[in-house]
Amino acid sequence: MLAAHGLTKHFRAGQFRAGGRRVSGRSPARAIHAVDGVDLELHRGQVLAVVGESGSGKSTVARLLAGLIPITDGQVLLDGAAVRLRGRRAFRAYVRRVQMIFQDPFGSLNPVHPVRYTLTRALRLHRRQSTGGTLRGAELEAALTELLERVHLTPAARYVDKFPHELSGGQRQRIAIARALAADPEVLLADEPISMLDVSIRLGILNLLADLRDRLGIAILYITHDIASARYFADRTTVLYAGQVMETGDSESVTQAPLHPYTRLLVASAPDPDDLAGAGAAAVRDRGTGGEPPSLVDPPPGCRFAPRCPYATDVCRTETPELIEVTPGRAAACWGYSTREDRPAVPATEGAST
Amino acid sequence: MSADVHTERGALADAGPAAAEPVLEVRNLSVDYGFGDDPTHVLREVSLTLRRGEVLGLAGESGCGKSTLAYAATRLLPPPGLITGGEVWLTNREGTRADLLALSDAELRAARWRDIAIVFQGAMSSLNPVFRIEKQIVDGIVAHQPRMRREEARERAAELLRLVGISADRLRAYPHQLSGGMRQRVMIAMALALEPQVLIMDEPTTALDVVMQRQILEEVMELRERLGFSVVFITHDVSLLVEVADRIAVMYAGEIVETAAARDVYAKPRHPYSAGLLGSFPPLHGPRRELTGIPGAPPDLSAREPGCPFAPRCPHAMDVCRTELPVLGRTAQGEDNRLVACHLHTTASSTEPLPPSLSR
Ligand SMILES: Nc1ncnc2c1ncn2[C@@H]1O[C@H](COP(=O)(O)OP(=O)(O)OP(=O)(O)O)[C@@H](O)[C@H]1O
Ligand SMILES: Nc1ncnc2c1ncn2[C@@H]1O[C@H](COP(=O)(O)OP(=O)(O)OP(=O)(O)O)[C@@H](O)[C@H]1O
Ligand code: SF4
Ligand code: SF4
Ligand SMILES: [Mg+2]
Ligand SMILES: [Mg+2]
Repeated sequence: MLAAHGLTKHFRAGQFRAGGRRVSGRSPARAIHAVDGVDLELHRGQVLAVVGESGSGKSTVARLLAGLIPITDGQVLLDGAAVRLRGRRAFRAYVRRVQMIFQDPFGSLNPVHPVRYTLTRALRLHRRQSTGGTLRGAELEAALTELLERVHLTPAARYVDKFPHELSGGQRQRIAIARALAADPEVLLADEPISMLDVSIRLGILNLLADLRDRLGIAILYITHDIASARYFADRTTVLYAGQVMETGDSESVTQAPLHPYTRLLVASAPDPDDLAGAGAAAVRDRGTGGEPPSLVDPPPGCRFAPRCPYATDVCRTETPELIEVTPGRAAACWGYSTREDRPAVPATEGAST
Repeated sequence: MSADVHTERGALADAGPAAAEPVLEVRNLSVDYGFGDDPTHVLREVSLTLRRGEVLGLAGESGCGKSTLAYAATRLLPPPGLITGGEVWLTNREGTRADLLALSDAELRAARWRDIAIVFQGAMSSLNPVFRIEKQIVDGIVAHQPRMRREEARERAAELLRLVGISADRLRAYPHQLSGGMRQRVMIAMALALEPQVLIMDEPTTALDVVMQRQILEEVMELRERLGFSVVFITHDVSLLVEVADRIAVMYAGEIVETAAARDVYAKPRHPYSAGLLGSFPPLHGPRRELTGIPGAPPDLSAREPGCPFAPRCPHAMDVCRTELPVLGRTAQGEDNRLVACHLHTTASSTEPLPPSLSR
């Protein structure tokens, strides 16, 4: 449905200083490699989760797919055709099919407009194009009510005339979801859509999205840092680190039998209330992998995870690993899975708790 | 240990590590939204005690009033929010106790930030978009430590950023050039800069992955030990709280319905809402299990019914629940250090024991 090949985004970094001193000489060549050669595919009726730590490029991927920022390199394909968004019309038509839920509900809702205005606009954007007539009166009210109920803001009358500042964080987040759903998109790019919701509402929203996926066959990109929810909700999961794909596969395998050392770190450090000894935290410490993510300004060659990886060897520090298919449908970008002689010794299986 | 549990409503002190002295005591705090004849009573007589060196987790459904509590306790509540009653006692480093709600504006300004700092929910968008990160942190430091030179403050800013896992080459970035989680970390760094003794963090890590969350919280914990400050950590993520908090207070519809040691809330919930919360977790490890969730919708705070606010969704609701508001009191098990607001615990007897989900 929606696919990306070699998606790359470099932000200019000319205005940054290194170590507090202005970078000497001319610096236009310096770039933040926010996203580097990412491939992904969204299929009708499927959810793809993108997980990865803060700053790994998840939102940038979503913004590239949504056509909100220009692509440095690579391609986005919608139904097999390269997406070119020249001009307002092309962009409008694209937005009707591909909707984005933004990460920050405090910044993404216009504070001067009440909920009614925001949602009505989104509803009309869709309706005008599909049925011709403008939505009004009772029909509009019914559509608004239905939308709010879908995101568990009930009774709808309580919320429809509120301004964003009158809503709690989780309530705003749900308005942002409702706005995206109003346009009845085919592809939904959801950037941390439930990060401010408590578990019970979270579950409701995920079930709603799962239902849209199953009933209407929409394709969903689900960005999250909550790897447990990826396990429950996503068909496939892609793990991003420092702007590159580290691992991809079906969600159950990726979360239960992670291949890539970084994914193992992620899984091991997830909070687990059943394990109060804090094995997760201990795992992070013991491996000495709690370090900083790499600077994305002109990253060195080699595996970007190498500085934190307990198995890293010289190969890892000099040559960049490609995604290697390990078993059908599962791939990891790690030299440990290559057949080369000097490959690092990454243990074949490592339970999340070892 | 819990001899300080009074039965009279209001004077109720939460049971907690009795050894440490209280730093922040919220007493019967009530907040309405909207003026006129028909305000919404969002907080109803909330009482909460934070002890020195403690991390108190505040959990609860979206819209239940967690942020309202944080704003009201620091007197930052914007209109139409109105504090209609209660006290907030802060004991500062010198041991002086003062009711924040009774301070003059000047006194309050001095106390805020030095004694009590808050990281707002939505911190992500509360950085000023037109200034570089460096300037914003440095200004923050200098405003509260006027004797510090800017050069020094700049070094401190770089150090603070490193503390939250952002490399110093990002100091010159504008907020829009940072990812969501980075902006949250900048806000945390700014709050830490002032070394307050009470730090209130309202969903500070919603955009952060677990590795980073842990790193930052460990940093906060370490500072807590070094500087002896206390933290109120607001989040919906109970699984995180279980690990990082000493005690958890569970809120529902603007009231505290349960407080207990963090691990007890998870292992042995006593309030039906807490029990329901825990059934909604997607576990990462172990077999996939059916997630039950909590059926029904949160109550309309502007049209409160008498009785227990959880009654319409409670699987154990009884007649008394629909007419009488349960107050925080001891559990039926008579446990130390925990309180619950549920009629089941007052009516439980040998003939009508607690449901199994609440008597583990
Ligand atoms: N406009 C911009 N100019 C310069 N750098 C940018 C810009 N937008 C993003 N970046 C950088 O690109 C990197 C990836 O950012 P992105 O927002 O995609 O991360 P993310 O994975 O969504 O993180 P988070 O989980 O914290 O939201 C970050 O290092 C960020 O600072
Ligand atoms: N200015 C306002 N006017 C009217 N109602 C408001 C206003 N601000 C908040 N509310 C309502 O008060 C209730 C409590 O809001 P609050 O922000 O404290 O919730 P919260 O527990 O922090 O939720 P979340 O987890 O979603 O952030 C919500 O139902 C909200 O709709
Ligand atoms: S390629 Fe090397 S450094 Fe990178 S993850 Fe694999 S073993 Fe670790
Ligand atoms: S008081 Fe009644 S309705 Fe409320 S939680 Fe207890 S049993 Fe349920
Ligand atoms: Mg992001
Ligand atoms: Mg809030």
